[in-house]
Amino acid sequence: MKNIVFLLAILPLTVVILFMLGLAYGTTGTVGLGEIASWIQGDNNGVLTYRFIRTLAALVVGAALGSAGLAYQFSLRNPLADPYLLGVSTGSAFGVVLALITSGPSPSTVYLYGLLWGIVAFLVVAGIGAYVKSGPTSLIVAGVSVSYSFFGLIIIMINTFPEAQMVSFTWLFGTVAYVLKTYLLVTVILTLVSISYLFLYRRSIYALILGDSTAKSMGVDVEKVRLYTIIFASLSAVGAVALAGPVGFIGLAAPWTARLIYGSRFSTVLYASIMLGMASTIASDLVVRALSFNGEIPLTAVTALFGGPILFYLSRKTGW
Amino acid sequence: MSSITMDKLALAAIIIALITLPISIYSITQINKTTSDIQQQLNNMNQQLGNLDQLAQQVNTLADEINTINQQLENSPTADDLYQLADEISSIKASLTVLNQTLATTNVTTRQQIESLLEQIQTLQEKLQSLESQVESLLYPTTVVDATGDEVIIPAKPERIVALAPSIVEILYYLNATDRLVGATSYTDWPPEVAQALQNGTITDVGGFFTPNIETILSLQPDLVIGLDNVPSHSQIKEILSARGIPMILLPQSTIYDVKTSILLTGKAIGDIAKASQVAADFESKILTLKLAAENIEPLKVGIIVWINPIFIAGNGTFQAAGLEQIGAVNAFANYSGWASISPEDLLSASPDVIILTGISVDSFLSYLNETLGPDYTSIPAIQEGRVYCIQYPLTNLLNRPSPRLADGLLLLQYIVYPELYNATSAEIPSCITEFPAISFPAP
Repeated sequence: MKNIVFLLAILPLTVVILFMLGLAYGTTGTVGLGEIASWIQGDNNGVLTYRFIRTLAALVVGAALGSAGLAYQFSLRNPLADPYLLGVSTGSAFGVVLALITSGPSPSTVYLYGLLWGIVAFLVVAGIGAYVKSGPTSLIVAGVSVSYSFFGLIIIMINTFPEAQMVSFTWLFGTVAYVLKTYLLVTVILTLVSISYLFLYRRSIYALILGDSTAKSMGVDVEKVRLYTIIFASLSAVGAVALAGPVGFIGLAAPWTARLIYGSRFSTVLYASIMLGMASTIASDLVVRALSFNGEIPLTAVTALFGGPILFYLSRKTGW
Repeated sequence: MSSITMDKLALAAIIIALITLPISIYSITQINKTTSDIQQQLNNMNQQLGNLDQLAQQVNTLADEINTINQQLENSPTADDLYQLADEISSIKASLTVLNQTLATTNVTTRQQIESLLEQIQTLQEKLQSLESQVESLLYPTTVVDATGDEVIIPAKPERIVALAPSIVEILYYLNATDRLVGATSYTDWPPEVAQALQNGTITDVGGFFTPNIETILSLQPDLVIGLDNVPSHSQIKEILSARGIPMILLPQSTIYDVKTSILLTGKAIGDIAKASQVAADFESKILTLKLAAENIEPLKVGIIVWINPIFIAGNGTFQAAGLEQIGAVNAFANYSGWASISPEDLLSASPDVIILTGISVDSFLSYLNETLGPDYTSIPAIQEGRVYCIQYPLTNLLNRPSPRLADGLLLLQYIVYPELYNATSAEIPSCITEFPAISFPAP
């Protein structure tokens, strides 16, 4: 009962309150409710427009990482899987570095290259996985190998081209401070498509965690469901990475925490994971804003610093 | 018949006389002309001989100066004296070369005197050479205290120099020492002749600014390597090289006045302190005139932006920011330090009066602001007043390298921010500056 109240009332309320805080609080000071109200009614306010896009980006990234991480953990039957496990983030980072070298700080090229190369890296991993056909482990191994290869290329490029070094200052550690609204919209669409698929096929995905043979006995086409789940989950992961860079930890911690609290019923856990992802990303960005007195600091600095101890505490409390 | 013949003869004589008269008159003037030519030539010759006497006198003066130097050297001179002597030697050397050239082109019949003068000059040059090596042997080993506070011992006058930053190459150019440069960073693009030499391999490319190749540096067998104090790899290379007995100095580069320090440090290390103090003084007086020119002007808030998405700005402690102060402006991003990345929200609250973009186009900057801030971005004063400018490569290098050229960069900056000081209006300044405008330093 307590859990249901938490699930249906407290979680959404937290997200809404954090979102309002995201509008009210920023690096140049606090804005009152009155000003926010008049902005909603159509007043021109650059600071609030900017904070709205930034907070919405944090919300979308949180939802994308929370859902994708959970889908990965279920379909790969690995509690430590995160949305970057299958090469999406390193592929995307490679694309961003490539964009910086070829066309400088052009936001459109950076986003498109990030998106495209994230997909390319994932397709390579999925292709290897489909070719080997020996279950989740081979997919993970393929993901790790492809990630390392791209990482090697990134290091070479950063050391060769001075303009590529800009990637390491901000994008490489994730940030929602520089999101543009056009590309936010693309990521929103990708995330919605991905989450819709996960909710529609929640029963088949749930079956995957019971083991391949059990799932097969329930009439689930294990290979197909696993592949589709991974493809759709990667869609939102790549959308988040192209938009804000590889924001760390959320995609691992949100699903993990959701499963600790709500067990293994996929639809419930998916909903909770999305909510927790949104809340923790916005909260982390609020901390980022408080710490960014001399320029923006990356988001992963905060998610990793605070997420680690919190995850450990929760895990101890529930007995792993 | 005979009288007719006589008449005819007389007539013919008259006709001939009439015809030849002008010819003979002409001939006589011609002869006069030739004599005046000869006269002039003789005059010239006298003058040249006079010149020759003058030249001989100059040679004698120089010989005297050389003797004085010789005496001073024998009276156990101090280090400062030695630097002065080295300077005198190089100036005498230059005068002798000029004399030599003048004599070689003088074309007079009395070659004898010239020959003897040339001979005299040659012996003087030889003597000077020995004096120079004597001074150098006394000057070196010299100890240079570099930016890190290390005492670097330079055993002999460096003849094989490696420069690890473009600004160092530029300083060496101002000190007339690029002929001693054997290796330079691949980022070198000025002066053109050094960039050219780097391209065709006369000067060896030693790798990137942040990532020089130690093996290449070692293979050049340099006797002096110069780097910058805030590049991590340069400090590491210094350790490695000094373990192998190769002297390396690190130059400071955080403030405008570090340019002056860098020039003087380099001058001492390469043994040309006189030239260095002249270059340093010239730089200092230039940036001082800029400061004085803007003394009575209302300061504007200027923001320098070097990158968008994310926006990277020049905060406190960068010498772009120090440059703004020097030209009489205020840094709009004074509450950030170093190269900071700021959010569009922060840009809005900084509200600069003038925005200067380095290497980014005005259009892409404005569309980025529109995407992140909505239409409210036009409330930034610089955008309202249409005072957003971009400075394009290679002009950007004038502003971001701690070399004597920084003075020109600051001149450009002052022209953009306060065109009224240069009898121009802000409307006359192009929104993208691709060429150095026709301006010169204000009169002090």
